Amino acid sequence: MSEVLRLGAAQEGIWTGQQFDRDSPAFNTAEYVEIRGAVDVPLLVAAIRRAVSEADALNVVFGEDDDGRPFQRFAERPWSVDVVEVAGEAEALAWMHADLATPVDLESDVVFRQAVFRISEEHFLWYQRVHHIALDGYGLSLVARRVAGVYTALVEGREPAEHTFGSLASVVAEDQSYVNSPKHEAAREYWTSKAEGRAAPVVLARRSGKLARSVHRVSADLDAADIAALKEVAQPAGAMWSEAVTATFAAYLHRMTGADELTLALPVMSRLGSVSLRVPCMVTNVVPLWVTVEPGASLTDLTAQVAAELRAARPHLRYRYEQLRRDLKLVAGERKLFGPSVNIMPFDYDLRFAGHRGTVRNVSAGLVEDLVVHVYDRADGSGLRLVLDANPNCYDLDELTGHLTRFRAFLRTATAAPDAPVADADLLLPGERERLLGEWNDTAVPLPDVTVPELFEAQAAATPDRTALVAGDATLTFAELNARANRLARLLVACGAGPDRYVAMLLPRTSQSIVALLAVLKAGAAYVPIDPDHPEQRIAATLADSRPVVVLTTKALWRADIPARLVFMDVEPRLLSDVDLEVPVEPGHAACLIYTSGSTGTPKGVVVEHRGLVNLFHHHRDTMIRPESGGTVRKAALSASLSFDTSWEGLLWLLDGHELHFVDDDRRREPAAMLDYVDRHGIDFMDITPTYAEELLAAGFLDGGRHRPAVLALGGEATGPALWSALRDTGMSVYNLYGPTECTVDTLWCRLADSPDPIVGRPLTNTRAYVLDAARRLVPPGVVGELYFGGAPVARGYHDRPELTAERFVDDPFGPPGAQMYRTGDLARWRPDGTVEFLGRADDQVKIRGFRIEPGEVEAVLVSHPAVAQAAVVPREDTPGLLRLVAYVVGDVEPAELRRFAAERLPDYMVPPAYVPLDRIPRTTSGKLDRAALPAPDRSATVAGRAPRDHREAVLCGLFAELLGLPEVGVDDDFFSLGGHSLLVARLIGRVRSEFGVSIGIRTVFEAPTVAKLVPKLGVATGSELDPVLPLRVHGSGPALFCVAPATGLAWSFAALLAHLPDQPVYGLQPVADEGFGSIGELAACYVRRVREVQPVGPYRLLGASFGGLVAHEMAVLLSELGETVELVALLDSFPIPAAWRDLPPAGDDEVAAMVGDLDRFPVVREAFARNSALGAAWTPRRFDGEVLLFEATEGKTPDWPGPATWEPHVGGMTVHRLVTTHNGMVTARSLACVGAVLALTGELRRAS
Amino acid sequence: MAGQLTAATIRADVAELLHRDPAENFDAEDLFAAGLDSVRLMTLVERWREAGAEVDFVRLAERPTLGEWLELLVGQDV
Repeated sequence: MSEVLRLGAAQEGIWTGQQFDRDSPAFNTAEYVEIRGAVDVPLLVAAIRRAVSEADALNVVFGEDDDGRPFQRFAERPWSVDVVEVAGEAEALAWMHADLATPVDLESDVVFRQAVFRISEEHFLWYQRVHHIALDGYGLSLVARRVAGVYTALVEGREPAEHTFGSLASVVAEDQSYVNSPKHEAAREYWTSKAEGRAAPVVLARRSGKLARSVHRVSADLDAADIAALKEVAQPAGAMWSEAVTATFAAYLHRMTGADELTLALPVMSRLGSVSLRVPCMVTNVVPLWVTVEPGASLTDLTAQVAAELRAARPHLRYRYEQLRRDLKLVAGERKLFGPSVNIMPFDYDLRFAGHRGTVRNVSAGLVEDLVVHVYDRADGSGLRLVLDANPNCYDLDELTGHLTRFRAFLRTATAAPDAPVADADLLLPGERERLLGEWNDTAVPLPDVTVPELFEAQAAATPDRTALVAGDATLTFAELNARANRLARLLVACGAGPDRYVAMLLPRTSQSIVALLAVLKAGAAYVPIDPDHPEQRIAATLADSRPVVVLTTKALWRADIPARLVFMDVEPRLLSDVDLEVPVEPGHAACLIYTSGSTGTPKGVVVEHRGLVNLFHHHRDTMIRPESGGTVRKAALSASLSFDTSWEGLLWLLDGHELHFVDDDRRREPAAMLDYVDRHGIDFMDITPTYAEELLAAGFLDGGRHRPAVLALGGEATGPALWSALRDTGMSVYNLYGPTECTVDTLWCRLADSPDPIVGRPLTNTRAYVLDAARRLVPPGVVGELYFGGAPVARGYHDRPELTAERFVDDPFGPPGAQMYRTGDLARWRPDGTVEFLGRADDQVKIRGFRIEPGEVEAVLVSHPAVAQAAVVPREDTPGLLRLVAYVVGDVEPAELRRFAAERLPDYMVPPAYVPLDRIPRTTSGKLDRAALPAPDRSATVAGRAPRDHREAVLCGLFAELLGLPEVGVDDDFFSLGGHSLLVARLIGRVRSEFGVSIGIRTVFEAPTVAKLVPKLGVATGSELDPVLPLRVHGSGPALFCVAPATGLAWSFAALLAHLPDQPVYGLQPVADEGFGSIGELAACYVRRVREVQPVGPYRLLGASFGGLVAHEMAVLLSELGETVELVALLDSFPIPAAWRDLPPAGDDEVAAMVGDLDRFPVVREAFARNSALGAAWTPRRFDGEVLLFEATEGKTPDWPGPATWEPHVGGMTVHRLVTTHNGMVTARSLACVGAVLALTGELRRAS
Repeated sequence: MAGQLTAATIRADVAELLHRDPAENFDAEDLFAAGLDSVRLMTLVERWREAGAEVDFVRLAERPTLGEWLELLVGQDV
């Protein structure tokens, strides 16, 4: 018995699987036979020993040869049958489960264990545990039959018949000959062609998981009625019950996942027509079964389809699935070959042990990748047993139990109506409908019959003198705001405004916008907010679509060349009455028309009614505003654009009598400035998008010592897990609000404290949430479906788009007669606690930084460019955490041109920053965009490196680098290629405004996305680069900082100070042109005159680097003599020139070049350097009685360098800061950052004292 | 009981499961090729066992023609 054999094909599969996790017991299979009757234990033990010794596969050990190929070798090993006395079946089962967890070393261990449990005189269990490499289910049954036969003979005193087992060698030989047969080739052809173009298999699991070492198992018996029903389904389809049960499970999978194409795994015994019929061994194979559920398909149809598929596959069942996986190249990939498995086990288990029936129970069927539905037919009249095995890494036990319960119920429902569409079978269990529609949607409360202006007017009457609005231009009480709105409303009524008419608002972000909004509502009309940042073509299109009776705007903003009735708000009406109007507005009248992206290429307007806003107000007031404000007046910041419905989150606080802060563009776009505002004004509430919240966190939102709002609301997009947990324990009450514009801002809400993981919460008052399948039926709790909403928030529909409205606003079958529900396109599921979890989109819509975008609209715009043949727009996250739109374009056109083209037609957040030219748009066989085949945008063209050539370029390079989070940026580097996106553009514009005092449009950046291209667009009238006074930042508060250049005469590099001195004007003084000064005294006197032109009175703040420090010192002396205060004299490695240096040769070109780099104007600088050096050498310092701040460079200095002591006779006091840099290094960005930080601190201290 | 398992019954049962006409002569045909699978075979085994015959799954599976089955089963009972 030392014969060495190769492994059979199925054995090899198990061997390989075990090698992945050698200590895993997962390949142990086990079953036991229950005998109710007296058993002669020694004879049973003898029978077991005999049968086991006769089965080749149970008497081998395994190994690998030198080539790594596994083999098996017959080897006699000692083993015994455990005989265990137990008190009951449970104790025996516990023993078995403990035994099952024993890993088997295939190279040394016996691959099985045998045990006999004696529960009582008349009750025995015979247990066998066998590694799957040795036996499959059929193999176990052969051994069991043999044991029963031998035992019966022994009890009857007969010599048992000779065994009829075939040899393991014959099976291995047959496997080998099959591989070389034409049948094998035919099977390969059959399966690979069947598999072609199939969708990825779907599973019931909500999460994917690794293979586990254990299995979750639940089971149930199918009763006689179930079996009869299955047979009845099978009969007309010409099928068997097994095919009917498989089809039923396919239908279940279809209904639970919504997938029409299903791939089941079918284990097949592959023994018919094989020598293995009599061999206890492992030959089981698994084949894929593809089931397509056509619309309207019945269970009978599916059963017939399954039967036909299996009939066609029958000649090919031996073809190994491991081989098919290799053929389909699925080995390395994540992609699976099949979904859940349906395992029909029709084995002959009619066992008699000396007249006593043996009932077989399976304990373990081996490793489970995802889910296996075992159906055991014991052929002994005990019916069918349904066992669900699942990978614990993919399914919880509760989930699995839920599937068993639901599948059994579904089986009854579906088999009861086999000819009805399976789509009609109810998936819900008793009580679930009540929970979904009642308990979890029990939101009805009386809704007051009022409108928004009534709410505001009541508040204004109650608290007329309270501050209502704080905007950049004005602070208004409730009475003042109401009065201004009333006057304007009267004018609007005179212009034709009234119920269900539109008034467009194209207004600056000042109090005018809020006045206008209230005025439109008071006039009974609906406002149409138009973002002045939008391109002209977009504005024109919106006006054309909404057809307002009047457009409220200002002379500065009105650019559109379209006929419209305009009311300019530059001068507000003063003569009209300011008392409340009597306009018949009803809750069902439109309050606003909000435009959102439309997938067909044009934006669509959502008509929102007063009813929805009033409901939202009452919900938020009662659940958030009043509980959180605790009876005091709070400050709410409104940072959203009024063109988004989320602006109502802030407006609602105003309606409840709180102080609304309408934050201007510069602050809301710049997180640091926003935080500063929040801190300074003590803001109590703000509503922001999760993306913006992340930016605020990065800018120090949660830093200690800073004021935080007590209440924060997140909305507009999904909140990620990291942000969710970061904001949970901050001491703030944080709310997550969810809702599409079509459902009036919010439909679901929760507090972050409610759940450790992100959820979107539960419905608002008077709101009903439904999770439905494609046929708009309720899906069970926990099952993914599409989210719909009914009730008060549902908007009227899309303006002037009846077809689109009919498609998305549909009859609500669960609401009162005539009710409508809105189909969101969001995928979601109910959690067991009645909250909803958001799981993405059912369509292509994307949210980028809270902006809702239909890629189809962007594609439509790109394709309208004459040079573009095709376009596909997809969101990509090539940099983690940075989702951007990428446009794939077929056509001969430059990205910059396309960006410009798109920016003229789309809001900035819809303009793709990145463009990738393609020869064709890749499509899958079904014609869908093949996203996997789309290349990532090329980002190799980053930081090309050409350095800034003047101060404006230097400032812009600094801004680019700061916003993009890069160490440096060259003048030719593309903002968007480096990762820029529209939000950063908005911030760039804010920074350009504060640094240059110039407002540029967002489209300017799209058109000129590099520093070199953008500088000319700034149109900064700063004169020549070589002007003596170089305004680095003209705007700001407090005294300016005047910075005198070093001997090169160029003050550009001081631009690096700007980032550290926010809000302070900064000027460079440049002694570069030859102005004929004979001494530093003359030079300084001239500079004092120039400084006083900019800033006529003190206090003055001066800074000078190297030579410039001498000039600054001299200027300080002169200003003091004029009686002015000099608040600051900062000297950057600047010292009176030692007498010994006066005769040194002038600096060479190389030395000067080292300071200023490669310049067009090098000769001018070289001359200035020589001239200034001479002036410096001749200078004798006088005494400045104030204090100076000296920054001393510590590196690269020869011993003869002067030190701080040289200043002592010439100043009243001195503070010295040492910087680890060289003399020339003092004016680099890095050193100036340190200098700036010290200056900022000094300024703070001075202010504080 | 045993008497009920006649050649006609066997032929009718097989024909039913394979959707064949019992009057047709398919005695020599490979029943696996004709669509017989293990579930169907097991169904026949159960049915004939209930009728009192000594039937063995393996023995039937090794002889997958109606002719051989008739020989095996009818011979046994007569």
